[in-house]
Amino acid sequence: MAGKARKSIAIAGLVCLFFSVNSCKFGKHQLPILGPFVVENGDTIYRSLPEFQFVNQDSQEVKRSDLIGKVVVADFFFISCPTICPTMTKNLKKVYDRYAGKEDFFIISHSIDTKYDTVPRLKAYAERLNVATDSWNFVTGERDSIFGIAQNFYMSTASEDSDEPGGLVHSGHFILLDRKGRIRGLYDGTDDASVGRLIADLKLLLHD
Amino acid sequence: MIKWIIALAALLFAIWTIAGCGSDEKNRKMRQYTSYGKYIYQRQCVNCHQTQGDGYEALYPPIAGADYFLEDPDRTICLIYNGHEGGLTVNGKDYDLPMPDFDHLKPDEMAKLMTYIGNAWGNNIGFIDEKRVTAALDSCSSIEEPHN
Repeated sequence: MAGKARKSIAIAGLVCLFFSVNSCKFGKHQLPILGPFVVENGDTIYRSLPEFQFVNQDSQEVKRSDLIGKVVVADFFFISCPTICPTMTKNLKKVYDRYAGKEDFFIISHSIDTKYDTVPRLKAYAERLNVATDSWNFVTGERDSIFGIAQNFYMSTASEDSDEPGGLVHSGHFILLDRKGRIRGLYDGTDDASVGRLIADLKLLLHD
Repeated sequence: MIKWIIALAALLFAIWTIAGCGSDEKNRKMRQYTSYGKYIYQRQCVNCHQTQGDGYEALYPPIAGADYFLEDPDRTICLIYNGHEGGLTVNGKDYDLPMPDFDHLKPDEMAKLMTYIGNAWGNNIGFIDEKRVTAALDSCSSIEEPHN
C-alpha cells in the first residue's frame, strides 16, 4: 500500500515537472495570430491590414500606415444605432480610459452609416464621449470600402438590413491588431468578461 | 344604543373593506404595469438610457430625475412613440443624438413603460393608463415643439 502511494506521488511529481518545464519553454502567455494565412517556402505568412483611406472626426486622412506600429482596437458602429452600439461604446470607453495617452495605443471605430454619420457628427460624438483624437479615431469613408474591410479583413460583418432597427446590421466585435497589423484577438463588445480579456490582452501586446 | 354602535361599526368595517379592496386593486395594477414596463425597458431602452435610468456621458440623456420628462410626461409619450430629432435639453444639458421611434408599441405597452420609468429611480409621477397614452398621442404635434 505504502509503495503504491509512493508510486502515485512520484507520477504526480513527474507530471508537475513536465508542466513546469513546458511552461518555462513557452515562456509567458502569448496571443495567437488569427485570420487567414499562407505558407510560402516553409514560412507562415499571416494576412495583415490592407491599404485603406478613411477620414477621421478632425477631417484628417487615416491610412494603413497610421495604424502600423501601434496596438489597435477596431470596431464598427453607427451613431444612431439603438441596439448594441451604446453598450459597445461604453465598453470601448473603459478600454480607452485604461490606455489612452499611451503613444502606441489606438482605437479606430468605423461608422457604417456613411449617409448620416458625417465628419461634424463624428466630431460631436467624440466630444460628447470626451475622448481625444490622438487615441481614438471615428472614421468614415466610401461605403463599399468600409463594408469591404469589415468583411474581407476584420472577419466582421456590416451591411444594410431594413428589418433591423436603424436599418443597418453589423457584428459587435472588438478586433485587436498587433503592431504589424495582424489580428490577435476578437472580443464580444457587449460582454463584460470578454472586454476584460481585451484589456488584459492589450497589456500583453503593449509590453511586447 | 348598542344597536346603533354595532350598525356604525359594521358600516365603518364595510367602508374600510371596500376602500382597502380598491387600493389593493390599484397596487396590483401598479405592480403589473411596472413589472411589464421594466421588461420593455430592458429590451428596448436600457442600451442607451442604462439600468439606473441615468443615461450615458453627454450622449444619452437621463430619465431618472429628468426635468424634461417629469415636467410634462405626455411630451415624453410622444417622444418615445414618434422619435425625436433636433436635440433637447435635460436638466440644463443639451443632447443631440436622434431618439428612434418606438411606434410598434401598443397603447398598453406604452402605458406600462411610462408607469415603470415614471416611478423608478426616485421618479414619482404615478400610474399612467392606456387612456392617457392615447390622449397624449392624439395631441402630439402641438406638444412636440423643440424644447429650449
